[in-house]
Amino acid sequence: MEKLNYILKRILQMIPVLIIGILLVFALVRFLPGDTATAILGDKARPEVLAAYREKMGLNDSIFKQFIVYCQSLVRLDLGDSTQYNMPVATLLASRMKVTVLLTLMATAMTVVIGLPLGYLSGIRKDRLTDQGIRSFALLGLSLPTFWVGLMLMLIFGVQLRWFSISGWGETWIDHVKGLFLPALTEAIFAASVIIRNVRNNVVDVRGQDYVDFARCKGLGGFRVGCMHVLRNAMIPTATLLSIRIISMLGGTVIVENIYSLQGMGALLVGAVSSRDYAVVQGAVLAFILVVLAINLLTDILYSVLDPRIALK
Amino acid sequence: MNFKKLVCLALALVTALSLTACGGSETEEAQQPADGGAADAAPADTIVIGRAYDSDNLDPVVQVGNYNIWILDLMLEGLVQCTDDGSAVEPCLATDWTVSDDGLTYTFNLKEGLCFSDGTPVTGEDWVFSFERAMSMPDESWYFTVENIASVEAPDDTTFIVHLKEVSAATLPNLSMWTCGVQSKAYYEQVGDEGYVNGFIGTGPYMLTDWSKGESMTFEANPYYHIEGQPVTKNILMRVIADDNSRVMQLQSGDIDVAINLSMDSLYQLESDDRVVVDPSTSCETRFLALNTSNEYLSNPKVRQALSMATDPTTITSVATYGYGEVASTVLPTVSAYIDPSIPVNQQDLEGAKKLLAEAGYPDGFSLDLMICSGKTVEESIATLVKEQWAQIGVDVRICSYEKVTYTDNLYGLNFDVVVDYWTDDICDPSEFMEYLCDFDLCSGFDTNYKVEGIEELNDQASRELDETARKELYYEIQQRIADAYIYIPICTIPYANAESVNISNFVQTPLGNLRLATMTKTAG
Repeated sequence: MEKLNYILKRILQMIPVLIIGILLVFALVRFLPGDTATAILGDKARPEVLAAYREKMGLNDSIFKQFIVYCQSLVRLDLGDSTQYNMPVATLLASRMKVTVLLTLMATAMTVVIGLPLGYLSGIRKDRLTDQGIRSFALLGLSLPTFWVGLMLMLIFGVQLRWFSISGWGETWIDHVKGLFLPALTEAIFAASVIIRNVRNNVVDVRGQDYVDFARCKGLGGFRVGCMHVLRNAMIPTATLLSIRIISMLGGTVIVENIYSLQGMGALLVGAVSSRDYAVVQGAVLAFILVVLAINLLTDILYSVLDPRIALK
Repeated sequence: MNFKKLVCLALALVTALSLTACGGSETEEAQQPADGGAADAAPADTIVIGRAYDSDNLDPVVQVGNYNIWILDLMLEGLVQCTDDGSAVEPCLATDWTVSDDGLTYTFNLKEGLCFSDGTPVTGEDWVFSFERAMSMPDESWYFTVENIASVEAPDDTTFIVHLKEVSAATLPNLSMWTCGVQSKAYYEQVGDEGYVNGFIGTGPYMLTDWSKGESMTFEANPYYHIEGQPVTKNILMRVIADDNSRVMQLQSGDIDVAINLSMDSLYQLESDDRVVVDPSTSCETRFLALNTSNEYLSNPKVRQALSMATDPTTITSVATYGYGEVASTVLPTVSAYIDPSIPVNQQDLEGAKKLLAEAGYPDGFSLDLMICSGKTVEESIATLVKEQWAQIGVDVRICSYEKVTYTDNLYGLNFDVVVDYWTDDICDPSEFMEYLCDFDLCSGFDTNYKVEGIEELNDQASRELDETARKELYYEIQQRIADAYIYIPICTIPYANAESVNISNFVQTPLGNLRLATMTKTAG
């Protein structure tokens, strides 16, 4: 019951953030230089054709009137129509969202799978060869630009070895996972490097705590102490960091989806900004805001799971 | 307890991902022969084409943009069509035609037994509907192609008559445009304007069967196509691959068979790959510098001439296009049959340029902003080389790179000094470009804010001149007057940078950009 109250309270707190987000996006999109009509009709469109288009799309209306119309539509849960794709924004977002969500989930899973064990191993083997090796890997992962990593993975595993498809999303679930493996790995390499460094430092700190010595004195085995006392406590700050990395990875989809020709939210947003497709930009950013708020909420809930001493109030 | 679950979940994910990865390699290998590997010598059923952008509107009358235009020829045909080399108009669905003595009535005899891709016969009513719909939409971009048509009639299903408002030399090229292609009236009545955005039913070699917007388009062979044995390939899949490097890699890996609209450097890079054939197709895409005469310095004709003399388009073309471009003598596409042969390619003369600048009162030079559209490698190279060449006469160039929409806004607002400008013909006739060049009000003297005396009248005359030689002379005169004003510095025409797998043959892109794929095949190779 306490948890439910907490979740409801947090959801209510999200509403002002959402409203501010909507306002900001609406304003920022309108402040972008450039004319929607020329973006859609091309730069050699005749003046009378451009004028007719602006009138038809309501682009001649005042910003205030456009905002009122937008808010009225939002209340009706109508995100408007895409000028570029000639279809409802909600339908477009729904089809694109699954690519981005699955990509981010896979990238997160890989980040955890690579980052946690290596970070833990590095921490318990502090200053030994294993630690040096893992730290070097993490440093390399942090230094390499994402687009370069993406292209190299494509070149090696897609073109030369042909282990993975590099031609998009596919039809079946197996295709999806295969198609998303390299993009997710591209995102995960950077994020895992961050996690490795963080977990390592936390493990080193926690291993010096009295309660770890006490657990050992009680006669607990090394694995049990490592998992139940060291790693679990070391993961509390890592959970915050991971949630931040997930949010960054969502932003990173803009680059990764472009490189791997995945038609997700990132690719959609880039295209929409280029063609001044206001409705899509607003809808996509709104969806991103909602996802980020949800991730933050989940992270807070995860704290209490990892450490029961943290109460949800 | 919860922590244990988390560890178990992580382990399960590792196992699942590893299994998938291992399985992936085997499946990929197993697919190779079917995708055009060595096992099967028969032509493949499907050819995959990778392109940078998706189409957004397939309504032939309403759509704008090359990514719509270029694929319309797959589904749509008209009375006549532009030849594959873009030099003339040839019959398509019309077998022949006659022109009345006053030049105002064209009577076309149509092929018999024509069917749409849904199997329904093409009737005179469909022809009249298609033309009248285009003629009823004056606010659309391509209205100019039907603007001169007074009325149309179809006395029977194999005769179609076009009545013109006035005599026009560009009648047949206009009739070869997509606005004049025949579409099924019944289908339009079923889906309306809204549904038409997603496609129509025509008589072209292919029909659109699936469109996953922003991702791919699937075309299937039209079983009722009027040419025996065509189209050769059953399915064409157009896949959107926005990133240039990804398109190249997918071509190299065999995931796609044809990559279109690559950059020049990608094309150059692919030259050394024996799995791929580099295919730079002749285009109508020109690049030239437009000088905005609103600028204090550029309002002086001697300054404009000096800048022209300081420019070496031959070197620029060779470097910026990796040798694939063709250096231009005028702003017209080099493939045009109407280029004035007496105008030579600009030759660099730095001493002459310096002298002219001194005469103009600027012996120490001045500064200018050169605007380009960002993300376009050819434009970026042109700008860099121009900056270097003009620096030699004391003109300091600041390169201003803007994203497409801002670039366009600045272009319309004349907010630049010099711009790397461009043109692409949509019609196999110079009339479209000439109208933009000669009608000052259409786009401020084509981005120069300079009105060249007499060219509007000469263009009006040329548009009505039916004698080919006389028409050419008029266009030569226009080009000469424009050249004498030094408002443009022609640079080059760049090709369509396409590349195909070695086992692809007959991939055709006309100089106007239209894809002609009815005879394209993919064999084992």
